[in-house]
Amino acid sequence: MENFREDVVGTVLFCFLACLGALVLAVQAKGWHGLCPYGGRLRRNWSHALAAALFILAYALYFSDPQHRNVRNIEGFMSLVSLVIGAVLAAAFLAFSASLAEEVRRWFLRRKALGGWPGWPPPQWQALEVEGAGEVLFTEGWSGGKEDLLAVMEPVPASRHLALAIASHLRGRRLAFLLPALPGRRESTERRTRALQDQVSRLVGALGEKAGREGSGCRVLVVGDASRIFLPRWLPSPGPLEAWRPSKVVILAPPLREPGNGALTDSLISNTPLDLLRALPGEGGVAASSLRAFLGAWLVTFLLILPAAVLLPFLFRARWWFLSGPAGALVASFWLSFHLRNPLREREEAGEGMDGEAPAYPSCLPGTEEDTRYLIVIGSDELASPREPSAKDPSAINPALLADLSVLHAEVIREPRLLRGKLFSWPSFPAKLEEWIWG
Amino acid sequence: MSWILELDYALFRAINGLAGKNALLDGAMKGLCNDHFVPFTLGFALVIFALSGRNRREDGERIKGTVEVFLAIVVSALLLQIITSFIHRSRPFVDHEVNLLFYRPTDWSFPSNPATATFSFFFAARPYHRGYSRLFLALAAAMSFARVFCGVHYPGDVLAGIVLAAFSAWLARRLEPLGSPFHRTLAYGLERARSRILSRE
Repeated sequence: MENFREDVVGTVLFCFLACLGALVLAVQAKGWHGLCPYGGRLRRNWSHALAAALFILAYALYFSDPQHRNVRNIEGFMSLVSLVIGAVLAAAFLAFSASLAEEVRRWFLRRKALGGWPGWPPPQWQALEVEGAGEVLFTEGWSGGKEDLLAVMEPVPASRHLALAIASHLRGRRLAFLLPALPGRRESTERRTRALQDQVSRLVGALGEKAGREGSGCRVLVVGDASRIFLPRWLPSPGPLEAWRPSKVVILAPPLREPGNGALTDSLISNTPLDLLRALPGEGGVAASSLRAFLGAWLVTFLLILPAAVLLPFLFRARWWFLSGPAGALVASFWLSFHLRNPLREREEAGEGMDGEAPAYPSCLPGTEEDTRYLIVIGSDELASPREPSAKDPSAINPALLADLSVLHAEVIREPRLLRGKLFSWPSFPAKLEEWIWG
Repeated sequence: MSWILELDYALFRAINGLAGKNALLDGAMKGLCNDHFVPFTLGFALVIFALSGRNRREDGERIKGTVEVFLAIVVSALLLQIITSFIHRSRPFVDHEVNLLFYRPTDWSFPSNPATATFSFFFAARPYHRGYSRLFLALAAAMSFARVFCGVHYPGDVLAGIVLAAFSAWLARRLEPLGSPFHRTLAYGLERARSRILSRE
């Protein structure tokens, strides 16, 4: 009599742990700091140690059981299902743990950086809300003079925290913050950029009316995605910041163009899966109409196929027929409905990148007055690093990227410690920021 | 035909004869022979392979390769079912005295199911990445050898499994439109993730 043990739960647990290890390795290799399972920035040694521990735990747990070593267990189909379920569970767990760890980390960092929890807007700031454009905040005495700072933040909700943190670190400076509203991410690149430029122009106008226009030559800090306001193709004339005739513009972690397809990388917000979920309501819904149509077609096709798909393995007395039937129906109906209503057709026919960015895109280069000094700081970005493995200098910049930026009168530096979305995990960042702005 | 079977058995005896002489080697072979050790390791390696692209183009290629591996495994499983319904070859321990280091599987011996599945990884991934396909080859070859060493397959079963895997991978490549909706959707999802998690973080 054959000794037979079908341990589905144990196998799924084994797959879950090992797939989690594999995902941690993949996240590290890709530099997806938003999915960092322990919060903050990814650390190679930590990730590799965690992945190794997960692999060892998975194999040790599973194969330490003699019933898993030399006894007939689940067969090919259920093994495949266990692998898929384990991988999906591991991805969900990684998303959850990355979000949780980052929330906890941010909570402590904000508390430490801000010395408590100031309300919004902080009482010592003057605040203006410009309908449809965003918020303007400035400290007492701000006039746009040479020692004053005008910061244009990213059009994301997290910019409030960044503004608070910067203000906390640059205490004593006269500061103004422009916090544009979030242009819909479903819009095209051009419409989003135009919307942002328009919003910033209106915020600058509101700031001028409220704070007076006597000052000029202020320092300007533009953070991440907000540097779209300098994109010359769509830059309105005069540019949104020219009213203040800035003496220096510091662009921190600007969008970069990915060589080959021109898609932009941008933004400073640390996008954990929870951040993405939070941003969804502001993006005008979860799914485009083509995707909704596809999901509807998939559901209908699935329901039509399901009875036959369950009946077939049942008649052939296949083991796990109640699982293989629906699984088969799910796969077959997906294939069929994809051909009926391809949700990617519009994007593919338009020749757009998958994330909706136009394939050809001008570089973000400042287009305002020539007597303004520009400093562009590129952060820890895979695109910025040189491709040659021999290049060990972490501050070296990919020559292709430099050529692509085609900056005529700007200084470009790369600061590997500057990690988008996790600025304050680098302790000397505020001092460095001060040096960049006023140095 | 009989001389092929004799040669197959002679080869089997040569390999299986090594069993039971060294406890360490036996232990290693029992581990490699396990139904789950190598196949799941290949599965986990495939997860890393799928997600290890350094840019959008590589991401797309590897997702395509991963879907092709899955397709090749499904095709090979179907072909294997067809073959085993016509060809019934008993396991070596049924007809001969062998050094059996493993449990007694009850299904037919020809072609080797594990060799077919594991070599499908190698043949399907080969056009997409040499490094990973070499890893897949090493694991598949080790498992196939261990199956003979432990006395549950003839070398001929393994050879047939390899041929079947190669044919399945070739067929899966020809059946690319079948896998196209899956790899296009997965590549799209990965690209969205890349855009939102990496680029927008």
